[in-house]
Amino acid sequence: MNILKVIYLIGFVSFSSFAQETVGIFYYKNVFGHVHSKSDRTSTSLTNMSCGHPVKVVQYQLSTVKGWSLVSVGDVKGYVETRYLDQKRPDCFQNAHPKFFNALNLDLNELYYWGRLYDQYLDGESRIQ
Amino acid sequence: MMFLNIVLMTFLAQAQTFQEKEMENIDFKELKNVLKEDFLEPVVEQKIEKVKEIKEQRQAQQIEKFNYPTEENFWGFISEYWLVKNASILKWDFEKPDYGLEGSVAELFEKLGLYQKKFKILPLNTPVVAHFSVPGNDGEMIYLISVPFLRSLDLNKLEISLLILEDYFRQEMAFFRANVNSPELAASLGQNFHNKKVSLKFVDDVLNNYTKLAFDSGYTFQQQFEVTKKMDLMLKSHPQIWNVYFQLLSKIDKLVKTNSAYEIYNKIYPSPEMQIKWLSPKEKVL
Repeated sequence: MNILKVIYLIGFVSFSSFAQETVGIFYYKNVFGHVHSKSDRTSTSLTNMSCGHPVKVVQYQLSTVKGWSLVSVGDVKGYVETRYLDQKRPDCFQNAHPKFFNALNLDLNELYYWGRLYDQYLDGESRIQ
Repeated sequence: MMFLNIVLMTFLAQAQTFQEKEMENIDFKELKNVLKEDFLEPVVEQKIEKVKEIKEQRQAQQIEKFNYPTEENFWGFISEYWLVKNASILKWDFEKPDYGLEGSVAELFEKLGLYQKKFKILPLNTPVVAHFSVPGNDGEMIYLISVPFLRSLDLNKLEISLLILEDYFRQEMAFFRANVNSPELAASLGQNFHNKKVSLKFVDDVLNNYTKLAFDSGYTFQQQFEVTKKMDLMLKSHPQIWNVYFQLLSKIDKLVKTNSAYEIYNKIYPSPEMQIKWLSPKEKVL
């Protein structure tokens, strides 16, 4: 009985800390990407992630820097551009064609650059006036 | 993290449903008489059918994993793969100021009635490719633009946007795809290679064709003529912008004739001099 109480207590404590520190679980939606050390595209990469990777969002849309969120991925805490996060699991190329994708045998250098690509794009769209 | 994912995926792939486990644990043949007496035979048949269905679905899912990309999701992927593979040549990974180019390109497109066109601009820190475009995902286009090239010509935002508009038409008029296509590509896209050896020849062919087009062979005179005529047609109702475009071609023509770093430009986009001729009003012979 005592063991059950301890388990319940541990569960409650971890749930409370999760609820306090986490906005929710989001998913990364580009082919590859980086968790940045600062809310800045040029800042160093703390870790690399692939499409569909679950990201624990600690602060959604920073009030100080527009378009960035504070996230936790594994034991790494850093910043990701909010527009690259999705609440639903995204349709990822590597999940749709896993055997083809694996056959490409991407190396670490390519994973790094593929993530950097999204840091370097300037996105735009013409709209109906 | 990736290892954990692999372990989880393997576990899920091997996991059996409740119905499948039940079918394995209970020998229905042994219980045939009991089931008959209890009128449970139809229930067993239903269960057998259900398990068969689950197994077929699972097998179909396994086979689907061996699908080659489709026409819809191939181009954006291969373009980014090419950009990644050529990152050290194209030098797009560099720190740059906010040029605000996205706004001026969108403004020009909107002025010309080209609405809801999504695009990505990728500045390059090298003169090896002056400007170029590749298809992106979901109908988007990716425009590469060399910062040293823009600086050499001291181009303003409208002039840069006009170069991007030219590249837009090269994609829109299907000239890009016509130049990078390979026979293996059409035969592979959307196909399945289950129980066959995966072939990446079409990937290599297309990547090589991208490289050849961007760095070496470029567009044909006919394609360039059609793009120039399209630009002429689109800009005719905006004489000021038309004049800027005409002046831009003169600037480029002068640069490529005097600066050896841009010698290749005439081969990739033949040629600014010809474009000026095609746009110039024909002289009347009296």
